[in-house]
Amino acid sequence: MASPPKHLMPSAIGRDPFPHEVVVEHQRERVIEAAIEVFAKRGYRGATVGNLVSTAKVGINSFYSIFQGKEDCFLAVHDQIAAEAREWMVAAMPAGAEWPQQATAVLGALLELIEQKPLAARIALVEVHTAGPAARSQHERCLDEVTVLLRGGREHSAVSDELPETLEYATVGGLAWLLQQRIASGEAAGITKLLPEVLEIVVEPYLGEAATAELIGRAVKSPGS
Amino acid sequence: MGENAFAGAFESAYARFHVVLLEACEEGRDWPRRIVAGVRAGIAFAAADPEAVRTLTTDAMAQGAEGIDRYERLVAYLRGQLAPGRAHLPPDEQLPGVIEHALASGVLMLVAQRVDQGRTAELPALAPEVAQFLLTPYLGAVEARRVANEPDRS
Repeated sequence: MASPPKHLMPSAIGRDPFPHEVVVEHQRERVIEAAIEVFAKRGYRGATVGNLVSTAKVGINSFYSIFQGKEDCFLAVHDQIAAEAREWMVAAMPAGAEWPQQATAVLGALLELIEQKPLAARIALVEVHTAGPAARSQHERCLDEVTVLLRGGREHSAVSDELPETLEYATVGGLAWLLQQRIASGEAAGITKLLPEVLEIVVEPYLGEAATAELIGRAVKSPGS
Repeated sequence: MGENAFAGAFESAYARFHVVLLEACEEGRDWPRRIVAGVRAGIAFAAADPEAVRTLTTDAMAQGAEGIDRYERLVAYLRGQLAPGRAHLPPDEQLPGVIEHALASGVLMLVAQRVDQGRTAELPALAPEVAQFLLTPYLGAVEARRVANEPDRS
């Protein structure tokens, strides 16, 4: 009888059956998954490394071989949430669409994601403010990305010369606080219903009232399109 | 900073900011010009006392639930100053119920960002833009810009 391939052979007793980097990556994923729950439910300030390792079921030495500590772990969690959100919103953008349709799709996708993943949303928009300057910088970079997207609206605006330079940052800051408030008060479920108001706040400065109303009408009729 | 110490620092900063706005927005002018005056005074306050701004915004949010409640009180006060702008809307126009919330918190975030990044010297020049941002939903882009850039006669 032929022997199985070498990598499937049982390992010697006491030795790890998987390469070290595979084990570390798996543990990292487990910690990050657990950390989303721990940070969202206990808050960054209330969470301890002990909570993280016991929820993830990894040893404390393993934790410290992957992360420098609680803050480092939070930054990794936030980074992952931001990357997933970015991917989700890019996937929602209809290819070749104009800015108004793109903005509608991205904002709709953002609200949908908050509704589907309220714990991750809490970390990204609420707890991030409590986790120190590095976390705030990561948050700022996320807001900057949305700001860049909104600036595209100027090309569709009949009053682009009249718009204040800081319009996008202030709009994104206001929107972030609105969403943060809803999430902090446990109102993430049903947040997609805010889409018409969010569109009015974000899109109307560029398109004006009539075109925005038309856009909202279409978005409400065919959500997710 | 402990919670009690932070609460004291917040209330002190909030009271000073409140007085500055009350004095700037006193009755006698129309609503758009009260907003412009309030913005100029609020921004001057931020430029002169960035630590107070940090306490009212970034530090408040970093405190968690209690700090967020305090910050929300500040947003609510500013919302109350903006709401009379609805009287300036054309009869057939409506604004979203959350617009004042978004405007007030957007401006606070903008100012907090400049303070956080040590760019307080840029703040005074921002006053016309901030006023225009706040007035635009009520007056329209062109009129908001005109009123926001009127010379300061105070």
